[in-house]
Amino acid sequence: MSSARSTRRQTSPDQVVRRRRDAALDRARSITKTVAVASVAAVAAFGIYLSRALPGHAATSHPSGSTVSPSNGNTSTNGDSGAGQSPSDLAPPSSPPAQSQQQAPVVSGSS
Amino acid sequence: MADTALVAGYRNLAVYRTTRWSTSVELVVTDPRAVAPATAILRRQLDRVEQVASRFRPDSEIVQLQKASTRFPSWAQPVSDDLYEAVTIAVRAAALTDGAVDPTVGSALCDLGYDRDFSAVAGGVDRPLPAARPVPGWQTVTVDAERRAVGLLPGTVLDLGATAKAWAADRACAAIAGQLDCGVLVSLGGDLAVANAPDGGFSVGIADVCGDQTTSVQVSVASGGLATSGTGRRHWMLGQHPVHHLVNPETGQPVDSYWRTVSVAAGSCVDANTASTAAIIKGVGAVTWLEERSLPARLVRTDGLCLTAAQWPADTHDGAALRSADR
Repeated sequence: MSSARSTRRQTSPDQVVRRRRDAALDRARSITKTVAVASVAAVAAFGIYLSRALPGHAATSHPSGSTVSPSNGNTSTNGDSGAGQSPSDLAPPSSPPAQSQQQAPVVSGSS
Repeated sequence: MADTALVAGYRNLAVYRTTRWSTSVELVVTDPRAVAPATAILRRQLDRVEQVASRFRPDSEIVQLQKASTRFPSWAQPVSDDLYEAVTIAVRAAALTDGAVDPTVGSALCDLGYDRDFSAVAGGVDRPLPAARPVPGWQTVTVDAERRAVGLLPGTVLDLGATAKAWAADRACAAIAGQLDCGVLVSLGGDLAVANAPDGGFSVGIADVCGDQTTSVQVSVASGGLATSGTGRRHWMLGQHPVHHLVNPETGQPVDSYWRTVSVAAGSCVDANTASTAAIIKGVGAVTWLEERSLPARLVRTDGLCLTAAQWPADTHDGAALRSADR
């Protein structure tokens, strides 16, 4: 009983005000910290997004395909002259087709 | 439905025939014992290309890429090496044909009703002819070599029809020749790749429509590829309008063709098919374009007149082709 009375005596109005101020400052600090962490995270995520997206954008700005590393269409190693052609050319055959009188096992036509 | 047979008139030539992608598949090998393993390799290659590049399969990688591009615009999506290669080849084909062979015609083809396997379209599609408008353009396809990634504008539908079938023929032909050490010809709808050809090359008939055995025009092909493009087969009725699958990228509508059929020989099947498709789109200027690139070609006008370019041999029957110099 006497202890409770003495505690009440110690809680002056100044102390109450000080405690409320401290609590408010704590809340403000917590909010500021959260905002800061969220901002850093957002900037990091945006940075990752840009690092992935920008190379693609760079390619569009070169319609000639200069940022593309195209295979030359002769990905097969079928022993023709195309393998030695520049990737930037349609490769002619190593020898043109010749006349043939033999029976043809296949027929090329629109399909 | 598939069958295997020895080719009459040859000592050791065997041919395997089947159908796939609404078209004929033919495999010719110079060793009859190689037919079975070669067929297995061919099937694996076609399965893989379909898994990667078919715009008719909802689970294909290219369809997934298109969906992801709509969800994450501007974000180039990492893709498998195979899809990366397929798209890169398509973009290269567009660049080398000044945009005539454009892989972004997919949505235009869908608008024309060709949004499913051709067997379901051939009977006709009941919808109006769409208004003319340009396709998004191959320049909007971004290819990031470092990340093996591909980016598309939202809503872009890629159609790799002008290159993927030929790419599949090249891949299968190289794989079979490499693994089985025999001469090989792989024909997918008449777009064919050749490796280790026998002396004199493989004899190939040339016709308006693939598989027309009545043709009397024959050439021998010793290496590389040969492809024929035309409007003779993949055409259908859209409402009251006859349409076909070769789209002018500038209008998004079927090209008003000057040529009925164009056959081109090149260093690979991809390059042959790129050139033959481009020739149809380019129209009257195609002969000069092909000759400048030394690509042997046979072009048949819609009135039936036949021209050749860059050392394509004259037809062997009476109605011999005119060389371009004779025009």
